[in-house]
Formats: sequence, C-alpha cells, structure tokens
Amino acid sequence: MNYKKLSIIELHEKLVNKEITVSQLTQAVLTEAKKLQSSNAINKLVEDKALLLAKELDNNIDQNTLLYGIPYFAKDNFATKDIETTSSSNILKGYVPPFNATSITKLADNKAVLVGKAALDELGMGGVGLYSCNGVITNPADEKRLVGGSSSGSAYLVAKGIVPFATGSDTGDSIRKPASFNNIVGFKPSYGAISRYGLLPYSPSLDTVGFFTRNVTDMAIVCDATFGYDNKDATSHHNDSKDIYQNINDLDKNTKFGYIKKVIDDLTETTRKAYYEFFELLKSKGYVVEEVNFNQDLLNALSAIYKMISYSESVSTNSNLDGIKFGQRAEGADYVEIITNSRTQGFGNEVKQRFIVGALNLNKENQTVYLNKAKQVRRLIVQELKEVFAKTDILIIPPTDKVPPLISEMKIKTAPEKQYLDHILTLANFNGSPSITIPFIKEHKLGIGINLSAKPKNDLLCLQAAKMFEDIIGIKNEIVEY
Amino acid sequence: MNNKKYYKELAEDCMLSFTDAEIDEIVAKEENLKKEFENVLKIDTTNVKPLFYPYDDIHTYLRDDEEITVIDQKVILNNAPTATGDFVTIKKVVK
Repeated sequence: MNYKKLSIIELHEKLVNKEITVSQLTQAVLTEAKKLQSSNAINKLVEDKALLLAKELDNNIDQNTLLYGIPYFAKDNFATKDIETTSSSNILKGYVPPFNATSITKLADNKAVLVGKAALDELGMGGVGLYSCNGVITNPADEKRLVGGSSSGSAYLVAKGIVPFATGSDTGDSIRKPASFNNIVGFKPSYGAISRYGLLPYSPSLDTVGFFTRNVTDMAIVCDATFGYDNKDATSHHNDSKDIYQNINDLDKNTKFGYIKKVIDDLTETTRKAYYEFFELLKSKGYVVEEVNFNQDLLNALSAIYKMISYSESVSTNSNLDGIKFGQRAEGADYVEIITNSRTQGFGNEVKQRFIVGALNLNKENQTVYLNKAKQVRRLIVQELKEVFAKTDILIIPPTDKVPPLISEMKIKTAPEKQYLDHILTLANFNGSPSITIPFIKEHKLGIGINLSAKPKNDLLCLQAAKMFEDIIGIKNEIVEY
Repeated sequence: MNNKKYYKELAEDCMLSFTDAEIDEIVAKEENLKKEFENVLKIDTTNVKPLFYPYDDIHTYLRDDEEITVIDQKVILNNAPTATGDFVTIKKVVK
C-alpha cells in the first residue's frame, strides 16, 4: 500500500470509505518503519499494541473523528503508559511510565494510533540529531547533513512519509529548525496551549509541546485534538483557538505582516532575495508588509540568555534522574557514589556539559550576576515583542538561511555579527508566541523554511497565516522517497 | 569561574564526576562562554523585574488538596533497579 504521500484528510477519507482498513494502514506503517531501523530515528516500535488497537478501531468505524486510525510517532520524551520511555538517554533505559502524557491521552481519545517512539537529542538537548544515546540521526535527504534537533527522529519520520504526523517538543527551536531542515511543517503552539504533563522536562519555563506534519491543514487537525487546559499542568491555559481546522482558510484580509530589516538583510544573498520577492508578492495580494524595529543588542544576547536559563532549569529538573527509583543504576559504595556514578555513566557529554553551565549559573555567587540578569533581559525581550505585535499581527523570521549544514562542517562558525541568526527562533520560547515553520525554498532535495509567529495565545491566526503562505508558496505533502 | 577545582565543585553540585581531560575541555571553553555572557551583562536592566515564565499571568493559585494521580505501588517497584518487599532498595550502609 503506498500511503506515504497522503495527508491526514486523505487517509481519513480512505479509512471511512473503507478503501483501506486501520489494520492495513498500521501494518503498512510498521513495515515501512522497520526498513528504517538503521537510521536510528526510531527508539521503539509498539507493533503489538498498535495492531491490537487498529483491530478494535476497524470494528468501530468513526467517520467524525479526523484522527481516527491515523498512525503517528511520539517523540521519546513523552511519557507513554506501559511503553518504555527513554528520552534517548542511557540513564532512562528500562523506564516504563505508568501513565500517559496528557497530549498522548488526547490523541488516543481521538483514536490516533501510536506506532512507536522517535529518537531525539538526549533529553531534548541539542539541535543537531547527533546526541541520541542510540546513535547519530542524519538528514533523510542527504546523510552527510544534519537532520536538526532535538526532535530529530520525529522530523525524519514525517519527512520520509512514514507517518503523517509526529509529536515534538520545542524549548529553543527543536521543532521549528528541523522542520526547516527537512521541508516539513513544524509548529510550536503558544506556551501552555497544550498540556506539558507527561513531557519529560528540559526547561519548564520554555518547553512547549508541538507537532510535525507535511501541511498546515493537518497541523490544524492535531492542534484541535490536543489544545486545552489541563489541571495537571499549572502552566497550561484556556486557549481561544478552537475549530482551527474549520477556520483555517479564513485569514482576515487586513492581517499585517512584519519583518526585521537587519535580520533579512543579514541572510545569504539567495535567501534574502527570496524573502524580499515574497514580501512583494504578499503586497500584490493586498496584504500590508512592514519593517518592524528590534533592539539588536537583545538579539545578540539570545544565545547566552538561552544557555543561562535553560541549562539552569535543566540541571534542576533532571536531578531526579539518579539511578535510584527508575532507569539505570551504576555500582557505588554508598548512595552518593551510586547516584554520581549512575549520572556520570548514564548521561552523554552534551548533557553533562550543559549541566555544568547550569550549575555555574545556579551557584550562589552567580545567581544574581547571571541567572537573575538573564531573566531581567528576558523581560526586555518580551516587552520588545509586545511592541512588535502592537504594530503587526505576524512576525516573519528565517528559521535557517541555508540548507542543512554538512555534519563535517557544523563547527564552521557563522560570521560573529550574524551568529544571532542561529538563535533567533528562541524569541518565541521566551515570550510564549505560537510559531510555525513551513517549507519556503527548495534546493534540489534540500530546503529552507520560513517562520511565522503571532502574539501569544493567537494560535488560530498564526496557523491561518501559515496556510495562506503555504497556498502561495505551493510546497506541501512532499516526502523524501529514497 | 576560573579554575579546575571550581569546575570539579560544580560537577559535585550536580552529582557528576569528570576526568581531568574532560575538566580541561570545559575550562578551555570558559573564555568563549564568558565572552558570550557579556552580551547579556552589558544590557541595562535598571529597575527591570526578572521574568520567570513567558506570561506574567501564569497560575500561582494553590490547587485543592485532592488526589489527581495515584501510581500503583507495584508499578513503582517494578521500575526501580532493585526492590525488596514494599521498598526501593539501595546499598546497605548501616550494618
């Protein structure tokens, strides 16, 4: 069965019209997924559970639920009941959560079929795909290039067409940058729009649950299924964005688009030209596209603030990974040595180095100098973004300005004055904006995305604008076939 | 933020141990890190309150003291590397 290019809606129609059964679709997905075991993109397949659920669903056809029978992968930092959840870390090998993340429960309530767990940069730390404890994940279109991360496996599997959607989590750009590297759609909703309960935390003041799909309409469907307040997550909120799928084509013609001129001017020549041409195209369709101001000193500080805040939070939130209660335990003479050895052997180098920087910021003498200062600057960033969104509805920024880098060249630094571009997507994590990356430019098999952000809690607007962009750009539902 | 001993203490704070070579690698990155942090330190934040979450209206209420989630004891014990009877066990330190 060649299902791989089909969208959620197309699969739904085939299922309810009985052209295919859920069991056939699930079996086809499992067969295709098994062919990719050497890619390291998959931590675990849940074949028996998926096929059992598929059989049940075949006996109870639900024409009204768009995710009925739709297969998906969950990033392996989402707790899945009775299914090993490792966050691609050796220290969590063997951990079997006794509960589902709320988002996983909601997908189950919508009768989606979980087929497996996708690999990630260990514990969500890393934007590259090189740090899963199970091995390197590379770009599906060119194995010499980065797939991006931390939601590397999810991006890989959606780009290959194995599933029409996968869950991801985004602390700095972990959904939106890999989406750009893989010619797919990646959405980080507003902070708190989807419950984080059951998402293994990296940096709770920034972590956001989101998804990968291959078109914006499919994204609307998975958001409709998962948005909502959850009393198990004190940071979740009631989001007014409802019936997104029904309203996805109803973008207000008066929607204003803004861009930061220096940001666009600092892009590579090809990408810069593409952006300015696109702005003219939007104007020709009657939309207002205007420059907005942004304090460059704040943009230059993004990488450091991200490290100060997220690394500090990460060392705190991961202190429960000690080898005592669950996961892997190392030998030691007493409990201190057991914990120290378990953590030293259980974590990879990237994680350990982030923890050291986090500990540095949390150290008594540095808390005011570094961490508190970073949080003050975070407020300035949020205020600056408030001013941006007072003038414009959608901020357009480049998620990347080149095709995914060669792994062998990843340490080649961008010019110092342009390094801020590598971290610009963190803006939406600091202020909680909905932020989506969709395909924009294609260079042979590779691509470069475009990113749109809206005022926090305006997810419907963000997705409507993305849908309009997608219609103009015309790239969707593409997969990497070989 | 200036010597190997300091970083070894930080490692102990987060219950990790590093080899001398690993500590040397971390110390070697210190200058770049300090330079990067300067981008934050130079920003004037006079009278600016720190922001802990994206929104100021984040929930701060106290929840009712009611059970929301209960994890079965058996499941907890099954996840533990070692368990005896009703307890997760670690190294016996008092003989």
